[in-house]
Amino acid sequence: MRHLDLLSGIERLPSESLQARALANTYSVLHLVDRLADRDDTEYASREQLAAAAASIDLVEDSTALTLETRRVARELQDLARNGTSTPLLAALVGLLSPLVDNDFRDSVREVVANVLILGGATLDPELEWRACRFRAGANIADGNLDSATADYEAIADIASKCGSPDGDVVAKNGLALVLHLRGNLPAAEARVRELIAIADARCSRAIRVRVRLNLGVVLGKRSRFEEALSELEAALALAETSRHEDEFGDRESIVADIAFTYVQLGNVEAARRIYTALTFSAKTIRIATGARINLMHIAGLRGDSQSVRQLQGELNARPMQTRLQVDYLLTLGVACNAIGDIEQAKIALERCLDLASRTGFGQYLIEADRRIKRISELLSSGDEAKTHRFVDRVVGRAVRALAD
Amino acid sequence: MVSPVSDDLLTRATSQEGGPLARPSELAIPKHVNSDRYLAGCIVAYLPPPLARRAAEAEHRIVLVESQSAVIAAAGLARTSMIIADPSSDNGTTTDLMIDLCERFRPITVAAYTRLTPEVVGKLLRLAAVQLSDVVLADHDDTPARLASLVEQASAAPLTRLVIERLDLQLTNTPAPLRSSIRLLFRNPLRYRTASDLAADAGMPRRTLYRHLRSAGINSPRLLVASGRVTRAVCMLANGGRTIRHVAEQLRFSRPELLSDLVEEVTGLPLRVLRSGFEPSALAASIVDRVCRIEDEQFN
Repeated sequence: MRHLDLLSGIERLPSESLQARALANTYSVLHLVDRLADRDDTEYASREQLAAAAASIDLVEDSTALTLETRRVARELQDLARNGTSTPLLAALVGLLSPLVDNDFRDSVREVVANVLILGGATLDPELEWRACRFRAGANIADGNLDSATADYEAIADIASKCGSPDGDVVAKNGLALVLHLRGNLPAAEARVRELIAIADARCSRAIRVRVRLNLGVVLGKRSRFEEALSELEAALALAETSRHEDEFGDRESIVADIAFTYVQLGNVEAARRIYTALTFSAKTIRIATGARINLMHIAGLRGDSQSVRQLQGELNARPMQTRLQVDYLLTLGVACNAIGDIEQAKIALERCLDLASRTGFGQYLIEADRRIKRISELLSSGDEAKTHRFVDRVVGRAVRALAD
Repeated sequence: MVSPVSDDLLTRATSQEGGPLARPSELAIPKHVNSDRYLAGCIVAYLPPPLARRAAEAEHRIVLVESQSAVIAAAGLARTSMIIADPSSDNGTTTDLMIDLCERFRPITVAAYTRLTPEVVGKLLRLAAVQLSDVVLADHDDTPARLASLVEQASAAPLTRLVIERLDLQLTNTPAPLRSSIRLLFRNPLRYRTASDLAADAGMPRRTLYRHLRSAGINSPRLLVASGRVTRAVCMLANGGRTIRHVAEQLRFSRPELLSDLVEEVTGLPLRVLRSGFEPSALAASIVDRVCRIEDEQFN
């Protein structure tokens, strides 16, 4: 069954709310696109009937990107019979991918990408093709399918090379660098991204230049070079702030969140807390809002505020979470619990983090969880030493084996 | 309650002309092919009156029943391959019935035909957890062509099930999304014209698809993709009343000869032989054998 994530999203919202109706609109429109891609009607009749069905959807009036892009797809479905070409519809579908990603509807992202590729076939505009594949790669990264993401980025590189798209080429290489980073190979990731900066500055659109600098800033932060990271992130933000495009807001929020992360590392915890608190209310993407809560939990741990750690843990446990965020959450929970003295809970969270990271190939989290566990073992060494060592040996051994694999 | 559904009713429902056709006497049945006519699967629908009326008007081959006990009785009949019902009917208790059917009567597939309302969303999610196969939305995509497509899918189900079972043996180590897309290839064969379509659906680049198929021992992605339409065509022709031209048109072949050629390439048997009858498991074995054994030129 397709678009289960949209149905789950509707189910979570109050039944007559505007958001629930808007999501139901998206589901109905994508249901028609599925029919079109399934090609189980005769061509002309099918298009006429689809147009009529699309016209009959009672589209809600709101200004979210998801609604606006859904309306565009509905409009193009209505025009399909008259236009005789599916290119405007396919472009509208690729436009819908961005808000689907922002709202974390990753299954629907994959299903829409499949429909775009199937409907476009051999005549699909290569620009649309790589842009669609890029969203699928992003969904694969979020779900921890790093091998699939690598294959997607390699395919994007092929398509971009065939159609001579500098943006596509840099997106592919930037994505491959991100995979290296997530697997834990930070030096290689940094080297790859540094190579891209000059190429992107010379040949690419602003949105791509922002992405590359953001990626570099994040990698530098992970390498504990926080001053350099801050400088790159601020440069990325300055570049992003010149944009008025709605679809680049997500990038800005992402940069601001990463700037706050470096603030924490540089000791400016209060500034970071204010940023994350604001993001929990204002973020347009679920990923950023959830990430902000995770980082607030980290800050609460640093302050020894056990009540806030527990409250945020409760809130986060109740949220559906993509795998990448979940690994991050478990690592942060382990660190925060350790900071407030709940060693048992810290061990459980870090073990779960190691388990999930080793199953998905998020080597970077394996390394960080391993480092944290070693730190815990040092703290525990004054207590039940034999028990602590058994625990540390077990989880570190597993981490090392997973990395070796 | 006594079920009003009988095997005889289902047989008539799946025939284009209201009854089984006589086998063309001029065709010799090869020794390796059983002389039994292919027994098509059929759809049994349990729907509230407005939807039942619409289904009956759109598709005379859908067998309508009027009670939950009749649905359960129908599910026990060999010919039933799909049940379609509205999860919101009978104050929602039909959802429990559908879940029960999914769990107790595999490999029957269960599809929902309903209106999209806030109340039905949770029911669809429950059904998705037990492998609901399709959703048809009332006043939205419940066109005659869509319902006809479900009938054809149900009709081909007994043969496609055998093909999928054999393919599954080859695919044990392939990624789950690819296995799932290959199953869909037989359910919605028109969606897949080339290996690129299969790759797109499985969420992987074509090169990755080729690598997975090769390691699964499938050497012809082209024939694999074609086997979806061919299996459907063989079933449509086996149940009489339709010409090759009509079936070729329905399955989007530009010329009937192309369909004939592809059927022979995928099954190893001429279409005229298959039309006179076939033994489903032998045919399924032959299809899978050829998909594995024959090597595509561009596959290397």
